[in-house]
Amino acid sequence: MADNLSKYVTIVDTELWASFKEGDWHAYTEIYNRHFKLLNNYGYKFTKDVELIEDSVHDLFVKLWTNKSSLSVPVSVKNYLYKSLRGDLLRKLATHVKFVNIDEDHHDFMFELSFDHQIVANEEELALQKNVKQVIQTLPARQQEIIYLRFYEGLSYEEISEIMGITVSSTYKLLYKGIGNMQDVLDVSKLSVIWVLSMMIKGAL
Amino acid sequence: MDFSRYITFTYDDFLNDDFFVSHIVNPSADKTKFWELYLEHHPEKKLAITAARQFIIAYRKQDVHTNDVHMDRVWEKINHTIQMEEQPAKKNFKLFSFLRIAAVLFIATSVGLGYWLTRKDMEITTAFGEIRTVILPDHSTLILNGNSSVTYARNWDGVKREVWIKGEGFFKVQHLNRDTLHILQNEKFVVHTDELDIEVLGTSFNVRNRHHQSKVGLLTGKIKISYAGDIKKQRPSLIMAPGDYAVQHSDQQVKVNKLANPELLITWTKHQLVFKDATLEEIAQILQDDFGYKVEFDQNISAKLKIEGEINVTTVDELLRIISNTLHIDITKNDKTIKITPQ
Repeated sequence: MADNLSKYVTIVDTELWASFKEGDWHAYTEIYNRHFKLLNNYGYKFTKDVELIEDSVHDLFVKLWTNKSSLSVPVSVKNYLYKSLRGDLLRKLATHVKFVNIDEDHHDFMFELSFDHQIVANEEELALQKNVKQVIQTLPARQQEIIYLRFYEGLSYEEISEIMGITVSSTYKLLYKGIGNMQDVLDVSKLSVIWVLSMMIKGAL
Repeated sequence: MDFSRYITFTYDDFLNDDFFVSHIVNPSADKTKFWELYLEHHPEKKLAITAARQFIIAYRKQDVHTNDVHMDRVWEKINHTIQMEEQPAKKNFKLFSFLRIAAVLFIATSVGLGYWLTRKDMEITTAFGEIRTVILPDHSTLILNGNSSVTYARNWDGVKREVWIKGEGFFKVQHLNRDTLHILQNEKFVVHTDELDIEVLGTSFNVRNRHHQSKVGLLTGKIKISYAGDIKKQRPSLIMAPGDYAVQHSDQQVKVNKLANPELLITWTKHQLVFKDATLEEIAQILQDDFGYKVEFDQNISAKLKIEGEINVTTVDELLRIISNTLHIDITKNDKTIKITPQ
């Protein structure tokens, strides 16, 4: 009950995972509660098919419960779930693509962000937002995903390479390329003008 | 503080640095302090740092898809699949579209005992304090209270729907029958307690049975209860009307009363602890049966002490605090033991 469940809220992910492995249903429930929204948000970058994402989340959690005793305790539960969801979702998407277009040989995935519903404070910010959006959208899906995991989720290169199933050095290279591309378009000097302006305004107040 | 590592840093070096990124993504006072001091010592880096920071901040202002509206729905599906796993899914989906939930049933049976049939190949048990929703093979749902278990056959195709319950449960039963004069064998839904058989006739009802005592409360509709085992032939079965509350104790006959508030019987399904004019003894019984606490009374405290009025709380701690304040007694909770002593 509430009294009983509340103790699970304060437990760290990996301890929760250990209890869940022992068959603790409350711990399993809490893992779901903690990660459902995050997983949906991550999945939504690969596809706008909300039900397909739900199917992947469903399959992932059923599999977890079924195989709980043979699972190891991951360093990061969240990263482990991201990696599993990603793998499953991309597999599901690949079979969809095959079905639609059998001649297409490459199963390249998409990775898409939306900034459409964000409120920006002023025109400088709006311009910056617009630039970021434009540049990001020109990058290949893999680079976009690395940027997302890096700057949205705050993950290290090791963690990103683990989730995406690529080597640390190619993660680094891909991100470096992505940042390089952005730098060209974003124009660092323009950003500094905004910064100087904002400092002047602050000083005047 | 040591800034040597960052002396030659450029715009993209900052974006590649975990510690720099983390002061924006997972900020803390320490990290903010570090980067403020760094800028004081290296004002020439202001441009690069500001650009890197602004990029990350602008990038992070993006739309979020949390899908929380479907959080419960997906969870229910997961629960359902876990239960149904290994069971072949040969369902007639056309038939199901006609079904409606017709009966809501609340059951509680004695702990212990219970008999075995080869058909009962599915068993779900809850721990003390755990409340779990079970989806039965016909998509009827059962909310199991703590310290309870239910057994049933995995496959109900073409057979009578039967469940055996120990402890306490609340049923919402799918009503298959549309012709009440001709009830087919496989349209029946029967819940077995140790002492009683409860047959759903298209209705909603409520049963509690622990310690060889069955209590059945009918919320709406109609149910038929009959005695389990050999006594069945000697005693007539009984049809219950809404608001009826039937109590049966070991070998005695069922006694039926009218309940003023039958809905109070199922408040536990919403994780509420509700008591009305309850004695300490009655409350202790619930704490023992549903939550697994051992309640010890000091010899100077009477278990018959009554708390006038209604208590409605969500946690055991809250409940104990109210009792303590109302009756001016000391209550201490140690792990799984509750001690009641004078102040």
